[in-house]
Amino acid sequence: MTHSIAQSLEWGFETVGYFAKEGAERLIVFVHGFGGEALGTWGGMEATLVEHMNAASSDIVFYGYGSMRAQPTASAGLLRGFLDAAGENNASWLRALERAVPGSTPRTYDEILIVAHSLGAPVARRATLNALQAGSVWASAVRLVLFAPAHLGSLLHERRAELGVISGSIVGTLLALVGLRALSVEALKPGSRFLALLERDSRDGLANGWADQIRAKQVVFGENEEVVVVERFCEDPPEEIWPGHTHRSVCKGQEAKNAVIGHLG
Amino acid sequence: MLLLLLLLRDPLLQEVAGSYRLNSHIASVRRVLSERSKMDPDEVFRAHWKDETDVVEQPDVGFRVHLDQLLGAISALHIGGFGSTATEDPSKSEMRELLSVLEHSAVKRYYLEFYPYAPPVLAVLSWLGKVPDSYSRRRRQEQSENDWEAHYRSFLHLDAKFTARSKMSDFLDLIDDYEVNGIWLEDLCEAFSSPRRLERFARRRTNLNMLEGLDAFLMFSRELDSYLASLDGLPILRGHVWLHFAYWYGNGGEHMRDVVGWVWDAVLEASREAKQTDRISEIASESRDCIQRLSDPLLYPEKLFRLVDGALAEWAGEAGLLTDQPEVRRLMSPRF
Repeated sequence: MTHSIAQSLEWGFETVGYFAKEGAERLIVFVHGFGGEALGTWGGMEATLVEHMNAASSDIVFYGYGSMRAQPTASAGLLRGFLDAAGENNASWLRALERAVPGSTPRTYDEILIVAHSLGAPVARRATLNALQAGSVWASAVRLVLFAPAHLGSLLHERRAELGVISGSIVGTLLALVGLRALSVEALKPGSRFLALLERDSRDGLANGWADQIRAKQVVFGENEEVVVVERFCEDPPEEIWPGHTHRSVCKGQEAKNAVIGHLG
Repeated sequence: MLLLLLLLRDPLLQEVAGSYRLNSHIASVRRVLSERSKMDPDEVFRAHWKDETDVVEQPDVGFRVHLDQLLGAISALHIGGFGSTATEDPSKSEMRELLSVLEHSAVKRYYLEFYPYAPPVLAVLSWLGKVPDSYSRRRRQEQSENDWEAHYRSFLHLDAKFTARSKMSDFLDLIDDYEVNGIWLEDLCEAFSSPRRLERFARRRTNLNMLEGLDAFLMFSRELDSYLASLDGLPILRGHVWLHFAYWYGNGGEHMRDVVGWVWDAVLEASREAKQTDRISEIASESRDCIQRLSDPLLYPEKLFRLVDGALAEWAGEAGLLTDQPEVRRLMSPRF
């Protein structure tokens, strides 16, 4: 087996990592969407990756965060905190690495591939933009692959009663029904301040020469997308539409696994 | 490190022991049990629920956390096959040391009587050869099957998620302790009695965290339920993993079953009150069914219970499993 067993990590919520036993040149970070889960969103991706030779020299992290209630800007800040720890080999990251693969040397990642779904996409892009603006060295290694990204907004604010169906969160749905604002949903209303700033900063970043980091490598939507706005964002590549898929299924099947593996050549 | 190298010949189990910090937990618990220690093991590892005014404080909290994590690590190793072959000889000094910790009266009362948790009971009985041959044979047979390791790794993945930093832990503390951060279990159940109460309850940040913890627990439960359902051909693995998590689904004692029931009835009621009776109620019902499956000792662990032939009867009695279900009583009795 090329990877350690699953490791509980101290960043985010329910974050789990797999470390490459023979060293890693790449860090793959999966970021779920609204009401998703660090691991559950990805439909068994971890089992595929830890056995695939293309991922043998990649550390793999399934990052979890409070996607129901937290503002996406705050979630992006926490994600950036995790990426700082991993990208800069801070003491906590090295402890986690040592526990997983005793005797490992610190990592120097040539690439940090962030694979994000739905709300996870603007959260990941915001975290990357903030890190680039702050001059974080690791940020130049970031590349984005996006499934059903919500970077141009979602329709969730109009469909409160269906939050449970979409997210699988019954408590989140009940809270929405009694009128409690889900700040992540509010921030994803098309044209919101969060989305407007994301677009403005992305365009500035592209003008600053950060195209490799800001422009996604691949953008995929399901044919039956029912939650987010399907449109092109800034200079992202034209979206691929996968037949038969919905918002939730687009990141779970074999096609999604093949797509991720395709970026690890 | 010596203990790991001598006892765990299997590289995967060595990795599990390292990841679960087995040696560190053993060392910590042994500090309490040591004859030179000024601590009273019966006091440190007491039943906190016996006295409503009992508040466990440091350093006892730290030692109890180490013991909980040691028991979890023993369970993960037992699920992974530790003790299923002759390489782990109970007469070896390292094995005797491990057994002396798990069989110490204060430790044993902790996991058998105060907080009933079956995995260390079954692990110790296995190491001592006090389980039926049919169970040991079947266990070795399962471990030799091609897909066994992949399924074991999936368990480790679920457990890593369960033990990672999460809002779920506040909710688990609440159903274990009845009160966390000034929130009582009754407050949580009361909150679900009407949409207005739920809205008022959720306005406070600590309460909202608790609701999110409940949600995280439900999501985890669905994942665990799917995983267990997929283990049809591996009944020993299925039973062991069920036992690993059973404490949180009512089999750590009758009070836990009650708690789970209250919470889910309340969620269903809130769904009805909110007049979203179709799909939302359906999701709430699916959640309740999932919790019921995970709480049912006649479902996922049934074949394991048959094979161990009464070896877990004492645990089952302490866990309150024998009180009102004749089928369970029969299943847990020797020579079933």
